[in-house]
Amino acid sequence: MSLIELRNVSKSFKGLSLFENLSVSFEKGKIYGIVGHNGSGKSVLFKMMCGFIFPDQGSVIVNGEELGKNKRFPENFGIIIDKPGYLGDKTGFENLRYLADIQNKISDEKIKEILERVGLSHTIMQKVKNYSLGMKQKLAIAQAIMEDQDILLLDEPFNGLDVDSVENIRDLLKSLNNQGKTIFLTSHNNEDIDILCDHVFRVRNYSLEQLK
Amino acid sequence: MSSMIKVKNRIISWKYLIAAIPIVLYALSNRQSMPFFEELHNVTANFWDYIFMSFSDVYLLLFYFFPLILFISTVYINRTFEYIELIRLGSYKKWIFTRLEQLFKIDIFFILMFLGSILLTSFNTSFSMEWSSVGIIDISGNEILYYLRHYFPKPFVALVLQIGLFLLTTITFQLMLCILYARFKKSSLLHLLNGLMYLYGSISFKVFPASMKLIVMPNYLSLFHGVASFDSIIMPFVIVLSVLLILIFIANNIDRDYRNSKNYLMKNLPVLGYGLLCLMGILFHISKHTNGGLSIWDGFIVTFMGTTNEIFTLISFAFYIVVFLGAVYFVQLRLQRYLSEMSYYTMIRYRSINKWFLSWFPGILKTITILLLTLLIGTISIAMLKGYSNTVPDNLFEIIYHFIVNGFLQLLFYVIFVIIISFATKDVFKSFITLLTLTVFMLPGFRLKNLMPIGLNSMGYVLEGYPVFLISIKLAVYIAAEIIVLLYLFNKKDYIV
Repeated sequence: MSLIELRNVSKSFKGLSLFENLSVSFEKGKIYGIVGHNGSGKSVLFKMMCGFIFPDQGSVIVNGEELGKNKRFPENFGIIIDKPGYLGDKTGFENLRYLADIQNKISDEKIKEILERVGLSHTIMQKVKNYSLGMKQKLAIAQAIMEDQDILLLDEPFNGLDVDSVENIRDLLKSLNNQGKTIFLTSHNNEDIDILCDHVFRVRNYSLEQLK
Repeated sequence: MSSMIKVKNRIISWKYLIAAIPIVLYALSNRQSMPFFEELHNVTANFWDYIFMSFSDVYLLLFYFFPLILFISTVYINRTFEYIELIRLGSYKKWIFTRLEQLFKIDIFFILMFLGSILLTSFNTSFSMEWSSVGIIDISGNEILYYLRHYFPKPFVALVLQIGLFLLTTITFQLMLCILYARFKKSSLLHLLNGLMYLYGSISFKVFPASMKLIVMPNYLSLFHGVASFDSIIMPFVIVLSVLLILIFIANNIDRDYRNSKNYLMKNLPVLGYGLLCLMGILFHISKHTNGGLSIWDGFIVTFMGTTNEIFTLISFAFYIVVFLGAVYFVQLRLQRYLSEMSYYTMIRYRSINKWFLSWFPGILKTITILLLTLLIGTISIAMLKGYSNTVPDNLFEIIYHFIVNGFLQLLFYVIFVIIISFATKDVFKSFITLLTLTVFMLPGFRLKNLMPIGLNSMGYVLEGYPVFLISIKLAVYIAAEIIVLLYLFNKKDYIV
């Protein structure tokens, strides 16, 4: 059984047709890369997979359940979609604690551990308003993985990261994949896609064209 | 929730206290006119007069305080929307109710601020737990205090209800804003709506005639306006609560795919049609006697008159058939599902026909109860809105008992009758046709001294003074007989679909 399946999906967004009769399925435990030019519909695709928006036609099935029938959002998704708005006058740790408190599944220690994994442990006392773009990006990655989510949808996760951090996050994503996580990511950097992804799709002609 | 969530969702800021300045100034200007009034009419004002002059003042509420809360709510809703929070909450519904919980806190803060401001301006006035003599004066310009004193025995009760009504209305609008934001994610839409609401509030206050009281905004913000317009204390609350319940229903279903909702709507079209027919029948009967000087309970009896030995009209008969046998028709549709070929597979799992029966039958009893209560509350509310008097009849208990208890027993009889015939003949449709045929016993000359258990819940029996408890006994005996037959069928007859 596919982990995520899009069946005959058509979607227009703001008057622009993005997908027409798209059918595609994704398997568990792989890393998928989605590429395409700006405005091609990558983010819309991710939002449909999360249930934030519905397709105009067709259905999105996650773990065998059609989104919008009994369940709106799928469980165990870690996401980076749009730029997360943080509490500027709070630390990175406090921001993660706020998000973690919604489901209350993880401890403070786990959050600290995640901050260390993404390379933010030294900033634990620093307020987010003083974070650089790259630090904010690491924080976004941290929130996406901290609750041990099974499926990660990461829209441009490498934006604003320096060379060392890119290397570190790539290693992190690979190790998460080795643990069985399924990862979807978009990137404008072909190197990220080539190194990490098992399968690559390009958004083209209102559909997903498989490149790898 | 941890303290962090409180921080993130914190919208209460001390800077909002600036908003109290216009309230203080307005309340002070209201206060200035009181000494002249006291001297002119030889009365003495107290603390409560100053409180209500401002707290029921529609200009202050409609043009300043209420729009201010909605504006701040809109800013808050927009500011706190995050996809990363949404995915953790699991649904838009949860997001809406989490936001509403926080908005409720800001409402409380602002109401306390409002109260504090007018308390400040009523400083140095005599305090009492009773109304002052100012409210006795029935002249133009003193309507607020006159009406409030007239309707409420204690000023404290009026204050609590004023706060309650304002809070209920505010929460209702905030829920609407949350729903719209969850659906469209555009703060501009919410601001536009707030602007239109401001405009509509002004127009409804200044332009709409008294007959349009149902859609006049101040009636739901100021207790005095609501009570005076509807000539009833509970009506403004009932109306706002109804709107709130509809919005809660929408919020509860917001996560459904709208295409599924469309299918759901199509699937339930017969139920909607039934509801519409009931509503039209109630409106028809209530409207017919609007100016007849009847009480709401008289209107209720007339609506569900049905037929008796002495009373028969074709309209009452037809409406009875629509409401009660219409309900049984839907039960019959459900029966079709339970008695379908799938019943083999469900029965084998229950390992007994009796257990299988009890797995779905209580649901039908619940539906009957909800239907009767809805009809009762709906009809009473419509009669109230149509201006029927609130006079409480001596036989109120009898009216309610007959409608609810005998109505329940009568419907129970119909339902079990349909089940028996369906089970015996294996044809659900036949059972309903048989039941329809039995309604011949509701026609004049066929009632057989009320021996037949058909139409015995007609409200005409209350009007005739027929003992309603005797009807209960008759129906109970018939139902007992039906149960014996049913048990016999369950345990003796082969079950073949």
